Amino acid sequence: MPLIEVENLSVRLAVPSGWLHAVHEMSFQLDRGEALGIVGESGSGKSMTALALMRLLPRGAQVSADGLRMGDDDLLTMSDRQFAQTVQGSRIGMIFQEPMTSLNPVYSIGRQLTEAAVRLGRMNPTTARRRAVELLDRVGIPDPAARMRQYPHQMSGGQRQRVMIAMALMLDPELLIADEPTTALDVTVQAQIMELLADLRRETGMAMILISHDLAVVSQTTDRVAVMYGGELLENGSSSSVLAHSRHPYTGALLRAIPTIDGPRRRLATIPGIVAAQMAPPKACVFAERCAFVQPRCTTARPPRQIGEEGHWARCILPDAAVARIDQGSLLPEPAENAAEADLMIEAQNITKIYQMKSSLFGPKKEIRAVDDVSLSVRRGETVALVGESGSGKSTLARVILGLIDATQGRVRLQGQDIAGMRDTDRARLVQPIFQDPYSSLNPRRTVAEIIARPLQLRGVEADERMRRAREMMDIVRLPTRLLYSYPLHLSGGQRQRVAIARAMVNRPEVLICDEPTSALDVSVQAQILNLLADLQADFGLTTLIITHDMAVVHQLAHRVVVLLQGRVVEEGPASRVLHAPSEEYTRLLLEAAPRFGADLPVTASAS
Amino acid sequence: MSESTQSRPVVDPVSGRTPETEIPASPGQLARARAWHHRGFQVGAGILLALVLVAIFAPFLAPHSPYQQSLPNRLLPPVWVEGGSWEYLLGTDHVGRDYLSRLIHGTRVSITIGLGAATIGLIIGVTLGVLAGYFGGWVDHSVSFVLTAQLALPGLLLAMALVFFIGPSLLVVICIIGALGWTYYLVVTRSATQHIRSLDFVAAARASGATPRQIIWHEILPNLSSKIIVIFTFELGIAILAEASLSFLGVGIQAPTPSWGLMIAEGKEAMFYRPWLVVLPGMCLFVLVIAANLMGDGLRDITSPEEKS
Repeated sequence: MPLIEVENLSVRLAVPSGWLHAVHEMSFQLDRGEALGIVGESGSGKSMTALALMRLLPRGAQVSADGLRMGDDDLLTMSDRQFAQTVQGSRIGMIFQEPMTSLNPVYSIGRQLTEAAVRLGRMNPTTARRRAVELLDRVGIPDPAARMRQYPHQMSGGQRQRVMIAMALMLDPELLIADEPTTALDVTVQAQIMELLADLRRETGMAMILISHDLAVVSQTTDRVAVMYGGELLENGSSSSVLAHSRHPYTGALLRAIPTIDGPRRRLATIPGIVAAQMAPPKACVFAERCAFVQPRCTTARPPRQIGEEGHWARCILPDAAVARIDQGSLLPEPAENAAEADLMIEAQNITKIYQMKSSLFGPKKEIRAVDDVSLSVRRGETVALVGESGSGKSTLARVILGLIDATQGRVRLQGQDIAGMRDTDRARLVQPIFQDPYSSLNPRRTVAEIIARPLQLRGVEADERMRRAREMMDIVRLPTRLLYSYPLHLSGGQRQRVAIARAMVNRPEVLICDEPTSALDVSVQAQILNLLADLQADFGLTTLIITHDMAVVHQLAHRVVVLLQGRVVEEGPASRVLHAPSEEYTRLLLEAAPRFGADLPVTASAS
Repeated sequence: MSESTQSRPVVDPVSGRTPETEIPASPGQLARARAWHHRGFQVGAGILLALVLVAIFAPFLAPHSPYQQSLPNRLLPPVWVEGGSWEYLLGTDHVGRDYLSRLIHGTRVSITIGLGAATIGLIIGVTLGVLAGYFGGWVDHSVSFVLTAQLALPGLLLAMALVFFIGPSLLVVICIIGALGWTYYLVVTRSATQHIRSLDFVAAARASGATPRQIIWHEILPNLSSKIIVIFTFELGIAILAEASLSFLGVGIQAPTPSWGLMIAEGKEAMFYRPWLVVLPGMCLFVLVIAANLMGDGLRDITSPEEKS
């Protein structure tokens, strides 16, 4: 008998313009000890599914299902009170994406760990405490007994996520739901947490639902994968089967949109269009609008489930073979190795940036060396990747080069001129930034046209000329010109990032500094932006400094790599060498931590 | 959808708009659209608008002159009390002036002072707040010190002392209430500016060579405007009450100018026998201030729906 059985679960949310069908007739089963991965881009309904199982949906949400059973219990008819006492937290545990906000900052770790167990009367305070210490030890928190008295702010993000896992395990749940448990963490920490979850599952025999936007992460740790899109389950099967023989065009497109760490560099496959909100129950294939294989009957009726071997099914009318025929992207040109004689565009010499902090008005000064004696040079036409985890000083270094903050020591030269004596507008013509978060990089009160044309306005370019150039830039970054008068609130994340790129490019700068340009975006959107950046590099001979923690992005774009650790350069060299034969331990660690697919995947297999 | 089938887009030479260009609602338009559905805002704004119209057209609305004394008709009760007359709808005061006419003209004083003082406070508070929030460092430290000092002073007492030394007049009262009522603007705009300044679009503007002045005007102030309007309506109510208090204490508006605070002061001796002398101007104050606050509450909900509790 399966542990969890979900039959035709639907969730709809009240929004100002009607009902948003977030999840539509979703069915799945989960056996004891089994791990199911639910994969989808933002807005696919994967989190809503989890929240519906936990009865944590936002107010105004309506749930309906034909069946929702856990073992012998019918979760549909259970009262809220009984659910809270017997299921929530005790039989189903949950960990969330954001470890920084999922612990209460004013209570100690110990109190938060033991609270639920004691309140539900499962344990007395002493046994609860003992169990909490054991669990903290198990999840890898050093000196657990002392940590019980600490507060969340005294721990790092990775440690907090470990505490959250310990908390979810306090009552020995039969099912653990992990909603993007590692998205907010550094790569190396990500790998550790995923490993910990896999170990715990083996030890305790609990079942797990892992929700993620990252197919690679999911495929490594789960037995089965369910692919969601537009609130519907499109494909479901064993992880190896889904990855090796994806039966739905959406899964195939997603797989090909993910950049790889090795193999020849190709243009990434992209999925045109954006995820549409389902304002009515779907009557046709939800993916039809964006599907490369769309046929007339896709838009008239919901495709049936085609069941293949071992219960691997897809909701698609295509025969298997068709999906396998998805073309590989064209090869990108090999990076020109002959860049040594080109002009030096960025020359950063011995940059040190020290932040001084005072704990109180009269307290002692504390120094933080964000960047410690880093030298960096980038030649014309070259793309250099600055790799490091949070706290490595990579963003600080970028801001020093952009002239946004002053270095404590050292100097920056752009095209041979010292940045210190340069006029702001001259510097702006040379170097432009693209930031990580497309939601904070655009002024919410300005239209797209105003945002793109603003750098021109600052140079005193006339209104019609500004408008002409803004339209031209929108063409270059492939934004439809009908969005000229839209405000950022009308745009999707990918569209916003294109506006930011257009704004940076409008004055035709020589150097582009991209600070994690795609890490806030969905996989399919990331592919579009990475392709766009590759095109811009080729078309405009741009020099690019790209800051990232993602080795696959490095492989996709960079000629040369500089690895930063705690403000210092630990390794530097051509991308092909650093990615394949890293000389430093830390670089190797970063490479190993990066999630990747097994060797038997079509992405590499069909390339031959 | 307005997908046009024209093959050659017609470009408007001035705006560069083509027929297929979408012109979606701006954040401001969306807020205005929400305003029409917010009951509190409707009521508050409606009353406030009505009172502003009363203030503007006071000479045409008032049945008598607010200054015309008539000792034989002194201390007449309102029409619904025994002894009242339709001639003097709301009765007369201790020197026989028509109470209704004085209340109508009092609207002028209250609204002038409210708008004037709230505007002066806005200019001082927003300027200091944006500068402190944007530049930080010693600018922030000095502005914060001025703020702490201001908050430590007993406002009404200081206002009384100042009016006493400078001499009472409408302009002096406006300036003094305004000069003392900027703290709320400062606190809010300072922290909001600090937040906006840390966002990437400000960094992007700096990277494209914008000066602090251009950033403040083009990037920061538009994002503060909704917050500032909300504070303005609250300060409007506070300034109106401050004027009434000063006038009541005899250092605000001077007789014979009709001011609601002054009328309460004049009527307080006879409060137990002729309560309407105090209740009527008190009611007017209450309605005006509550209308301003309702409008402020509504504006807050409308402009930042996520902060609605």
